Amino acid sequence: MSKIWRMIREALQRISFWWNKGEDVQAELNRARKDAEENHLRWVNANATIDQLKNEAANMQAELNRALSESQKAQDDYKRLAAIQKSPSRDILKMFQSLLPVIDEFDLAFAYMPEDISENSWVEGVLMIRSRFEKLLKRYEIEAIDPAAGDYFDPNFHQTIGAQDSDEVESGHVTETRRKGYRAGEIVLRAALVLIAR
Amino acid sequence: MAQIIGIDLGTTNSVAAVMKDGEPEIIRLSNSIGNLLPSVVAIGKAGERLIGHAARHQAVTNPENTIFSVKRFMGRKFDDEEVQEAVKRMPYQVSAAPNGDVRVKLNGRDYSPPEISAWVLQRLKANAEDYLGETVDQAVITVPAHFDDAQRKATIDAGKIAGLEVLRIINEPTAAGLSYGFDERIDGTVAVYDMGGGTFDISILKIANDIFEVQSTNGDTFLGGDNFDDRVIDWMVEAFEQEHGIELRADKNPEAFQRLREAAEEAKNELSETVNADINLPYITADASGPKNLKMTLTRAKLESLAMDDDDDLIQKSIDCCQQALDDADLSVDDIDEVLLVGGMTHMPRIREAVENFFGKEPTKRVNPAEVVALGAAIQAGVLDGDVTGITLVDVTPLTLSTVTMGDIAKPMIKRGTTIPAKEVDIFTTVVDNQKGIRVRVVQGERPMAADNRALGEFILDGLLPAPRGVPQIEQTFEIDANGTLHVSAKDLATGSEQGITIQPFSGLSDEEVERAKAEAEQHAEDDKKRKERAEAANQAESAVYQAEKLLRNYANKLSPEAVRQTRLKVDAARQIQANGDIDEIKAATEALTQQLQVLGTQMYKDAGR
Repeated sequence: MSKIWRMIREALQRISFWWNKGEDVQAELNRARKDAEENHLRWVNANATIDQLKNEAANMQAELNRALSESQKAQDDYKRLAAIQKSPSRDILKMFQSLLPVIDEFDLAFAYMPEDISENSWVEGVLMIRSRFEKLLKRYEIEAIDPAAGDYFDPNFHQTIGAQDSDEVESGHVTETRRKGYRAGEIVLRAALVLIAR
Repeated sequence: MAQIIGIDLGTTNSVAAVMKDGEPEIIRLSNSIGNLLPSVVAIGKAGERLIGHAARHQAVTNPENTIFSVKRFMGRKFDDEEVQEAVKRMPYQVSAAPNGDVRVKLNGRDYSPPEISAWVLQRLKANAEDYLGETVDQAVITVPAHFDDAQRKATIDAGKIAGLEVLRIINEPTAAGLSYGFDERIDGTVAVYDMGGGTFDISILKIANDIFEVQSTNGDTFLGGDNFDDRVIDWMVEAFEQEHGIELRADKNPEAFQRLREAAEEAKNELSETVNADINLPYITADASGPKNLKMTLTRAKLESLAMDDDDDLIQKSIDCCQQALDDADLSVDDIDEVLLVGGMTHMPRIREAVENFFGKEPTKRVNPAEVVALGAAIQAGVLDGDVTGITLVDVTPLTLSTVTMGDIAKPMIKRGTTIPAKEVDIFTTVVDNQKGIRVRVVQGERPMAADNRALGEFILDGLLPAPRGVPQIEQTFEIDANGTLHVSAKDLATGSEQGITIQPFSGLSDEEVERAKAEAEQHAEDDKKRKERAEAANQAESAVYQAEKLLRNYANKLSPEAVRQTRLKVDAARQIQANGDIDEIKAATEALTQQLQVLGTQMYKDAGR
């Protein structure tokens, strides 16, 4: 009998054990489920955060691209403006343009100078006055255009006033500059008057 | 948004403008002090395309391959009287195309006038892009008020070839009116007196509620500033010859002649401000006795007497045209509310005076007359852009458009002065029994008989059902779109069958020809760009060579013989390649030389630190 009771007790104990165990497992399971749910939530949140970050990154990239292109444009504008500002203003160039005949006529005066006065110090003084002009031009970065015989004829800077036969110069090239031209960088104040080989 | 530019595509010079901060502004040229681009193109001896000043600079020695005044040929037939008159004065070859249009020869190849104009437009476009720092592909272009459909289409084609969508063609006097009226509104009947370098135009406009209607036009296609200059030069040459017995003609003494030309122009401009202009040209030439000076005074009175020579009075000629224009418009001088001046020649006081005397009122002179048309085109561009509000320029049909009915009678469909876009519909019928089809003929003009008007086009609507005459109902529709293009259609109301045409002038380029020319022009633009890049690279090479040579000259004794040798080698290489190499080779040689210079610099600093 006691054996039976013992068996029953043991069985009850076992049942209780497993019952308790079952509760534990259930609790564990619940905990795990909760954990899983929390993890899932965290995962979802994390994903959302990732998406958000991705979005932000994309936005920042776009912003950066925009900023870069703006800055490129600003740089281009700056370069353009700098180029414009660096060169003397159009008004100054116009003034120089109207002074060019004076320089030409100085040149002509010396070209026609009688030989017997070439050593005269008064003449030398006039030559010095002329060189002042040169200095002024240089200060405003205005260069003479004065192609030599045989130079390539460049209609952007040279203007033909006639053609002549030449043995030395290739056809179409400059044989002689009859009047100097002047330029400020790309801006032509006046083209050089030249003769070219026929 | 890319900007729309306004272009005054002139016979002698062209100029572009754009709206900036609400004001029209001239787009200046990148390589010249002036704003005007000569309407001249050429093919140089080396086969390169030259446009503007460069083309003009080589005209003397390459006259047969230098095209100027091509506007005189735009959209015209070779047989036209004006064309024949112009041909006589051109040193280049002009011929007729198979369809009767004009072709000009350049370097052995025939070009249509729009192709040539496109070169000028292309240069203005590129220049505008440089100036604005963005791509430009739309424009408003001005034409003389008397330009007909064919001439306008030719101008649109020129734009297309140059890569410009021509959003609107407007009349030059209308552009002038827009420009003068930008700050101070203009209303009423307005005379626009336009004397340019080579042509004179007078237009009578009616401006009311922003509607610009051309009442009449007149002019002289060979009267302009050049005629005045020529007379002053002739006077100077004759006076000099009398005094010294030396002829200062272009063929005898080209550089002296060039100085004369410049002095004549300067004196003429000076006389707009003063009454005397001294012309002093020292050492103009020389003979056995020594150098000769040209010294004379041109008075305003003398200039006027030269211009108003009894046999051929240039100013009176223009005034006669003004009278003719008034007569044509059925107006008298009292009807004119305002007179506007256009063109550089109108700076001349005597011209202003003559205009004032004739019209009995002082001409308006608020805007630079040489730029006023381009500025007006820019304002119109601004209107299309939405930049300019408060102006709604309305275009009107310059001439009545009619369909031809029985007895060769022109039945008006869209009357002259109708604002466009416009649409008119009318019903017509057959004139004989069982007529199978009808011929729809479209004419332009004010005369009652069709034959006296200008034929624009025709088409046939056939497949009519057999019926007694007068029974079929044919609906004709005339429609002008905003660009002034006319579409005409006819519909048989019984069968619903329909035929129509878009009126293309009988002359002009086909779409394919325009496309082909455009592709070619793009290629040329690409070549031009490459040439420019190469020139820039060559410039950089040149300045590197210059620096290197300066350094070698000044510091050779401080450098090792090997370093000097290396530098010289690279200088020679750069110099050689600069002349003959392609752009990449030039860049590479310049880079090599620049690096060598840096090495030298570093070495010198190191040595100095020792």
